[in-house]
Amino acid sequence: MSHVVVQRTVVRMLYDPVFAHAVYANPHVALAGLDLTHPERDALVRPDARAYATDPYRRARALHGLLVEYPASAWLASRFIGDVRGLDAFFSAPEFHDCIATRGSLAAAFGAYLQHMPFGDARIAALAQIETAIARVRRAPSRPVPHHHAPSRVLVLSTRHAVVELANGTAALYEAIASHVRSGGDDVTAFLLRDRTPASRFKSPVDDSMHEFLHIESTSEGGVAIAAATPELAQLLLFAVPGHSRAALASRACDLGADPAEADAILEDLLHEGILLG
Amino acid sequence: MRFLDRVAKLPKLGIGVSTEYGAGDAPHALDPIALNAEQPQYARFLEVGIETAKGLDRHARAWVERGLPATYHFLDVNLDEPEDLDDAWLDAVRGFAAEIRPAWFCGDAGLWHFGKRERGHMLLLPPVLNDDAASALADGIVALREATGFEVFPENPPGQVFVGDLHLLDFFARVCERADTGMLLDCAHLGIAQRMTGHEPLDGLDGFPCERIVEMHVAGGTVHEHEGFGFVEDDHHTGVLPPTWRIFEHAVTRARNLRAVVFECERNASEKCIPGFARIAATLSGAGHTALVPS
Repeated sequence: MSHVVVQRTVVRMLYDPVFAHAVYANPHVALAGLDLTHPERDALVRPDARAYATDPYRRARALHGLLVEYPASAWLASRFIGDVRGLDAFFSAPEFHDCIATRGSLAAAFGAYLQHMPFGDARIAALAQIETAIARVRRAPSRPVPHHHAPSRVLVLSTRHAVVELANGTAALYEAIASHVRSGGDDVTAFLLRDRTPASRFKSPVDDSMHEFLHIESTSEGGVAIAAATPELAQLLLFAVPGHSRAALASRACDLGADPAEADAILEDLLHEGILLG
Repeated sequence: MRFLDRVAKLPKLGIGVSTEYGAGDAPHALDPIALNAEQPQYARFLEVGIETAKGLDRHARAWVERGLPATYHFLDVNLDEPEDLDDAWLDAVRGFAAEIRPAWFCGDAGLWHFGKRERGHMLLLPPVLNDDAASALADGIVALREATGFEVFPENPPGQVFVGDLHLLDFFARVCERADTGMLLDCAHLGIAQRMTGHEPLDGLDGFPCERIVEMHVAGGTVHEHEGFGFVEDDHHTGVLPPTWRIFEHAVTRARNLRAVVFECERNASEKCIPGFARIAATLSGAGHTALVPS
């Protein structure tokens, strides 16, 4: 398996010149903790160091793809860092390196980066939460699969669906900024580079003391549908993420205000619509 | 049945051209069907590069609808990662194979994507050149062969960073032996690897089991410089670099089971490609591969 670790380390070095420089300076320190032999660490620095840097546009291309999926949070973040190109720092961040080292999703890692970075406006993290969920359902297999491997006779939320719990006002802010970015044409990156609209144009506050829920769905036409969800439905779907028996889900529905007959009908509808799998 | 017996049953495709999704839409791009009609000896088959998320474009579809010969060049599988040969991908591959009816599968045996197969993860890196990686790659080739019923020929990928203790040709000799398979030798990629690892173009070829070479690629490249560091970009230009020709002309005389040669020039006007095709044909004739260049 160590060749896999070597290969993933090569990828990290190709994307992150700071990391590559550290590996060349002292591979045994920079790669400490990785399952690599001494010869493998030495092998990583045997090529001319400049060979890792022959594609100067590698990060820009990857960032371009990510911006398309994170238009709203990237737009707002770029108001605070001055230039959307500053988000290129993601490729030197722990979220990126963990993603490569663990065979993760680049889009999910970028979403985590946007949610964790202290850009100066908490609304960026909230917007990234929505866009991370969109990216996730967009990648779900066309054939529905459960979020987790669940034993038989357990109902689980389909990976083509996601529910996000947000600070109140986030959905409206998201729609306003996403609409603004859409108005700039098909090339999201070009718009993010040229747009000078101040963040103050979108003053919608988000109120973390109150919460709202969105139900995000990957549609059969290849798109993504976003709709507000009642707190009760959202809580039920979130409860279904790890998988529970039908009886447990019905009991949860009753706790959330349904009578037993309603609970059964709700579960039947959710199964029929492919939101729950069982 | 051992590979050296199986290879006798494979068709002699001759000289062909390659394509991938969208390549034929490039301005003045080579039209394989037109070339097949005008100079059939240079376009006897089409190597269809397939990324399952994209499938076939209208040019590839038009070719296969005519019932013309094709090979399936995968663009989206890390053969050394067992989890990459998942059911959904294999189902898609079988579907495209049923459509194009390839003579065989082939493709760069490297890292096509980091992480799972999803948007934004695409790249192409050479494999780590060590013994463990050779075994893992061989296992993946056998698994794909068994899952599809087609021969699977690994191709040496391009790259700028080659890591590992084996020479690239020694690595692929082990892969081919352990998977009991043939090889797609990309002469341009080998030239790049030799340059990047400080070798002469022909180093290692005499020790390589050339009888396992079933297909060869010839393609142009461009020399670039970055901070004083020279490297070759495998851009499929029509200007084939001298080391690539040297490798092709040397290996072709030893590749007694050669079945196909692709001139990778899919984004170039056909008139600019003809001299390359002609040189390939002359080389094949000179090496005695007359079945590959019918008059």
